[in-house]
Amino acid sequence: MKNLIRWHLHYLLTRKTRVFLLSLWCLNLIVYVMMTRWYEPHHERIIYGDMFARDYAFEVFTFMKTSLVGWLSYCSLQLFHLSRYEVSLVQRVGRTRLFVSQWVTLMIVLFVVMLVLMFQATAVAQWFHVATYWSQTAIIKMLSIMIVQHVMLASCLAVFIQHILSQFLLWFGYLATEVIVPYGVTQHTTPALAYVMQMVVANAHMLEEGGISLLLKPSYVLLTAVVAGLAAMLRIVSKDY
Amino acid sequence: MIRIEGFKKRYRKTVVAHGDRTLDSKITLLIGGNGSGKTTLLKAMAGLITYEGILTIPETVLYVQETAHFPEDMTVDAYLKGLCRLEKRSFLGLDQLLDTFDLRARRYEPFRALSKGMKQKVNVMSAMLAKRALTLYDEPLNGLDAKSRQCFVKQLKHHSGMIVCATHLMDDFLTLEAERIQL
Repeated sequence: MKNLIRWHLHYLLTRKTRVFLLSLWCLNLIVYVMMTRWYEPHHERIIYGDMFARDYAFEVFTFMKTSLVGWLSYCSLQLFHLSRYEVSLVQRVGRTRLFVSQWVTLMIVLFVVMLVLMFQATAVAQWFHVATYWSQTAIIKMLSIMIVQHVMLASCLAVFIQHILSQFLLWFGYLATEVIVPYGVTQHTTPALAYVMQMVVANAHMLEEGGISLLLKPSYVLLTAVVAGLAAMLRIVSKDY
Repeated sequence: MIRIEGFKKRYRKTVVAHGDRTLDSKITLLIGGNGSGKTTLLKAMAGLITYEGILTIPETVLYVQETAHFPEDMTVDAYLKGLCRLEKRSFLGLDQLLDTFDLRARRYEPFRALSKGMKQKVNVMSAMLAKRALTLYDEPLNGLDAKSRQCFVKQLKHHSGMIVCATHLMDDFLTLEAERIQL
């Protein structure tokens, strides 16, 4: 497994990926600093102290999340886009080991990126003397949400990416559950569930005996769209925002 | 020994079928034009596609793709050693193979710096290092220059395990002692 993870990291962190990561991080830092500067002197809710801190943390979290989605989508594309070299690897290590090792690699990368972003958040906040809401509980909660949501999303994207229509449907599902519906306290529960289901559906065919092609069957695309749509509707109907 | 019984693979509009036969030579050449079902049969033997019928094959099989894809930033050396490590094999024979295929000077270069033919050489070398009971080559000579084609054919004689090789380029295999099957 160690060798396999090393192989994936080698494959993942190509020159192009490193440049992409660095650019994204620089952009992230610039926006972050600007956001912090803008928030402190101009946000009217600063008078409420704690509320401001909470609100600020939420904005920071949202921004981090957006960055992560972009980066993870890219990583998962690189990593899970198996058809390029899957035959040689699958035959050597087996489909299950390959799949598990890819997930482990993605988790490692995810944790490293999140740690960098969180250190950045703390550092920038301290630099501008902004009180943040980075309690241990809040961080753990955010981490778990990110993992559930975005690793699933990344996985789905990777499997679906070979089919433009399914990409569109997946992003529609994502937008429906995440962006169109306003923010709320438990906003992540339903989309997270949708991602889990999407992942299960998307990966089910990957594990089918004998079939090596990642090409998507129309029924899976349809099912995914239905799941995403239902998740969005559920949130709207339950007024969970 | 390989036994093929009632093999059939259905695609959307076409059906590929092969009659019953037994392959028991060390080297077997599958000969046939485009669309004759060479790749289908090889993939079925490797367990990469579903099919109808019965295929009796050795336990450890390796299918070598016609066009392999490589991690572009990885070096030849890292790739070949990485594959050996994944299978917990030693690198014994790697230097010799690099010499045989004239790649020693390029071993520390990334795949993006290699030509199509060089990549094909690495593809073939990775299979030779794997040492399986059955190795299935799908058009292995594609992209190789004349010298490398000769090298490959020579190396087949020293190859471990059984070999089934699909090709439509018969001239290069004229000197090779092998069973020839027309599909």
